[in-house]
Amino acid sequence: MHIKDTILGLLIYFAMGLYLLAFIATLVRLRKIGKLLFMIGFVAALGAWIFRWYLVRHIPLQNLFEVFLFLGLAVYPLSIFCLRALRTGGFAADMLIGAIVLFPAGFIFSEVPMHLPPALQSWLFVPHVLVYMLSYILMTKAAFQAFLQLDNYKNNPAANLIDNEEATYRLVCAGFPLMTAGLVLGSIWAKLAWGDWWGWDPKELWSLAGWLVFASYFHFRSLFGKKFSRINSLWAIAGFVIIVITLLWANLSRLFAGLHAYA
Amino acid sequence: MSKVRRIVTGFSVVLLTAPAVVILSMFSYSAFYYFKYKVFLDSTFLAKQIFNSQPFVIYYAVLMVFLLFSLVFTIGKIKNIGIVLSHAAVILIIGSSMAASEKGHEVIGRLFGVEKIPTGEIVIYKGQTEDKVWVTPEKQKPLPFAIRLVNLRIEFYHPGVLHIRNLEGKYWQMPAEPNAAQYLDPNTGMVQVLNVFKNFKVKTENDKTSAYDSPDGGSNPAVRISYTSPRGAVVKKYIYAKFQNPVLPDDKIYIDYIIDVKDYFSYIEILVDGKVAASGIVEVNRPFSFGGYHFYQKGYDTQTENFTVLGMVSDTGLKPFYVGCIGLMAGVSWHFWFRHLFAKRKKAEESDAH
Repeated sequence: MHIKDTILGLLIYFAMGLYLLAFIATLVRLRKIGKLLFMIGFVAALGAWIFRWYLVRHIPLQNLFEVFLFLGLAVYPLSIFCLRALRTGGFAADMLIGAIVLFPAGFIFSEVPMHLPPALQSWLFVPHVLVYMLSYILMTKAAFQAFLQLDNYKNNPAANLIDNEEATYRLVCAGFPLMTAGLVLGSIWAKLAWGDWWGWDPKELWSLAGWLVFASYFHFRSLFGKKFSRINSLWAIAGFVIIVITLLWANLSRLFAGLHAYA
Repeated sequence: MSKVRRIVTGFSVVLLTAPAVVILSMFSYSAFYYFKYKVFLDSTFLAKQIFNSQPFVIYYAVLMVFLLFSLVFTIGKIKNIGIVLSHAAVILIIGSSMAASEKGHEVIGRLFGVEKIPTGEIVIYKGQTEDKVWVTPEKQKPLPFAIRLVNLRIEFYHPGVLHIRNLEGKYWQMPAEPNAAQYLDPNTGMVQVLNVFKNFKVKTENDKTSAYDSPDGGSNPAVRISYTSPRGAVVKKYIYAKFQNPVLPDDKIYIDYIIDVKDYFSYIEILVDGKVAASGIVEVNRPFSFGGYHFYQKGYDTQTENFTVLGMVSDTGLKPFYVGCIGLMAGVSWHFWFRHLFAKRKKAEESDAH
């Protein structure tokens, strides 16, 4: 763990701090201030990401530092989208999620710029990573709603939000096509770069496992509806656990050495 | 939902979860193996063995049957378009993968008399022609054409970068440009770049040896640096990109010269009966196609840059695979996104009309 004493590092810490303050403000019922701080935090995270883009001269989604920085900025727009379009809750939790995903970018992963290796110089690089990251945020939000459902948490009726089980389902519905697009784009890219659309690489296997778990979630839910709502929630949480393994463990552990090692 | 459809959906849950459980078990076993024997298992090899084994061939067949069943239950209703499309797409993807496999090529060869090599590697030296492909590390097969490597071009990122580490694990990075200097810390000293060589060579004239940048063929990137220790002692050294570099004396800092490859290109000609039938460039992410095969830039001779390694893959099953990919994306996004948007718009229009 190391502190980054650069402009980029300071922007990340500023965004993190604002996200945390926004979370605390919302907890103490200063909702409007919380919303404002969340938005300013997003602007800071966006600024950090654009500055990184300027520094490395390519869209910064290459390594875990850049990916977590992107996750930190994408939380806010997705949170607004989910609140308005899907009517799902968890707005305050999103502020905390924003701070949590910025933490590895701020304190753990190295910000040393890296050149793009030949395999990453493809038009598929950005869409492949982008759709995966957006789907991961939506699935994280879904897992949070699933936790609330297991905890029998009830939304404030005045907030006009759907119940937690339905919210989990809607969020998984929103994230699953993105996850599918990530898998498909990755396969097409692998075909163009390496000649084989499936390499049995650990990251590929875990991302397939995640996709399969969410696909079986849909089948289970179409079979039983809300009859076993707690199992539905556990299914969504299992999918989230696999996402964490795919995103972090598959990259960091020598147990999973493979084609995605550069990430 | 009819009883049969419920049974098919129930089995689908099991069929979809099973590979995820196998993946989880496989990596749990790898972790257990590591903790017990301190040895990492090759998970890619392990996965290939498991997912291409006999039980999994049966699994794929059962999965195909269930996917077909799901089509029977869902086809014909407008609201099910997304489900039909995505399930049909998965059938296409699995079917095309089976056709593209070694066994698939064998079966197609027996049924239709089309003999194709599923996959292999071709090593060609500059200016040379190769008409055989390595199908395994020990076995070569003849090709129905020959490939000539006209030229191999490698592009590097410039300038290169010096990676400096001291024994405490502190790390610095500096551009390998003449006169560039990097102050490390008071306990480590300073590094300055004196000269940069693209193709470092040494010559001796009048009993005096000197380094120079050779315009002849080959590539041996190197930099000459000056290292000033905290005590003021100055050491001048050559740091090579392609060779192991020593630890600098006394203060023990490690310096590596890294020149990242930006891209590499093989300029090839395809010869049929000695005549040029096609020519083109093979680049990473841009394969070259000829005669039912795709050629991929797999590697090159990193030391002397004299040969290229091309991957050769048969294009059997490729078109259905791409159609399956598009179908899967279209089906899933229609089912989970667009049909709801259309339904919402329709509902809004209906309420406006009322």
